[in-house]
Amino acid sequence: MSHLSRDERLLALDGALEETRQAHLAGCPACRTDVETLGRVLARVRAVDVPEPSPLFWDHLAARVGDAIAREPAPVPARGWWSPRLAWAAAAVVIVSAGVGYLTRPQPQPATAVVAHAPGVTGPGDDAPFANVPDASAFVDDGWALIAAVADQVAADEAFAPQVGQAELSISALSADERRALAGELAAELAPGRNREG
Amino acid sequence: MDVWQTRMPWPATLVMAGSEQQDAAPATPDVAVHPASADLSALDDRALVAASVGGDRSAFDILVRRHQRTIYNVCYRFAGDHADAGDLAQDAFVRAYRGLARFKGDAAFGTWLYRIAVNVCLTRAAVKTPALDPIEPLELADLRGDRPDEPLLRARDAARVKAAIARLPEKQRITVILRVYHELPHEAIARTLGSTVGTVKANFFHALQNLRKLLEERTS
Repeated sequence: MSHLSRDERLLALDGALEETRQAHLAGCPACRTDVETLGRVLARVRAVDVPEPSPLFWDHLAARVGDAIAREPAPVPARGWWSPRLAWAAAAVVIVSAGVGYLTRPQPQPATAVVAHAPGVTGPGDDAPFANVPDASAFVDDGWALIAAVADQVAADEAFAPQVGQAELSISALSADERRALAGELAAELAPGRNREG
Repeated sequence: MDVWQTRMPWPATLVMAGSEQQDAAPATPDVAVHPASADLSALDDRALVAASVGGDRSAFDILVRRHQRTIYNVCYRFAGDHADAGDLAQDAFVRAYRGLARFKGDAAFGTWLYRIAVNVCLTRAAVKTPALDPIEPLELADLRGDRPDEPLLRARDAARVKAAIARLPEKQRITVILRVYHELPHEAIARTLGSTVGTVKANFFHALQNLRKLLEERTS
């Protein structure tokens, strides 16, 4: 069986060595001698007491500490990082930032919106970031820009809530000349071979 | 009256270092409390800390009187003489006062204060080497005993042991002091020193080995 480890020798000094190891200690002269020697050292250390100072010493020490403390500034109560003053300051910063942000907000950029949704361009949720699209301006389309600009001026529920008969009503409100002009434009737009991006 | 004080028992609040125990009821102060402080002296440590942070210096004075014996004892064990122990104890209390607002009450005030004192001792030890000669004059020894020369022999041996302890490396010395004289468990020593239990056990074991060699040298 192996000799007592360092921790086991400390346990033996405390009288807390487990039984199996205690049996080894009893039968091993080397371990027993070592533990007994350390035990004698420990006993000599324990025998050294602190001499009791004069009864006046405690008064004297307390007075010394009191004098030293009197020269110290009063302890400042600890504040967490979130104090009421800091909270008001933070609120003010947020309000001012929001106001400045509102007043200096960028105006709608129809062309940019068109680029983001133009055919062949990766949009939100795609893996390729938009910034990596080569020559994004090539996709700008005046027609899409017009639609995007109008859409920005229309509330979403107005734009997307279908209203029965609205298209028919709009056309019926046109004059005869206006209807002819519209038909001509539509025919030109739908003519084959027209370059929409030209 | 026996001029030798028996070994300082480890305060219950320190044995449970790190637990959520409340501070113990006020111990009997070393001197009579001034009548003006009578109300404060009935308060527990946490209330006295709060009063001190609130600007009541007399509250801190009561804390000093309540804990000065324990703090002085650990300082004495480390420094080896009354004068240095008094300086170290004073330094510990002043540092505690400066940091009083940071005392969160996670541990007992006594435990917190004790850690400060140990740190003060360790810091000071780097600057000052303890005396190697017999520390206390032999006149302070208890001269009563069965044999006329027994007290003298005991005092001489105590002086040798003190000198040997003073020659230990700092960490070994403070470990011996906390383990032997204040009867701290290894775990509490580790918390106090910001160390691990394994390191504390190693330091204690090596301290005993070194003391054995040092005492053998002195004897031979």
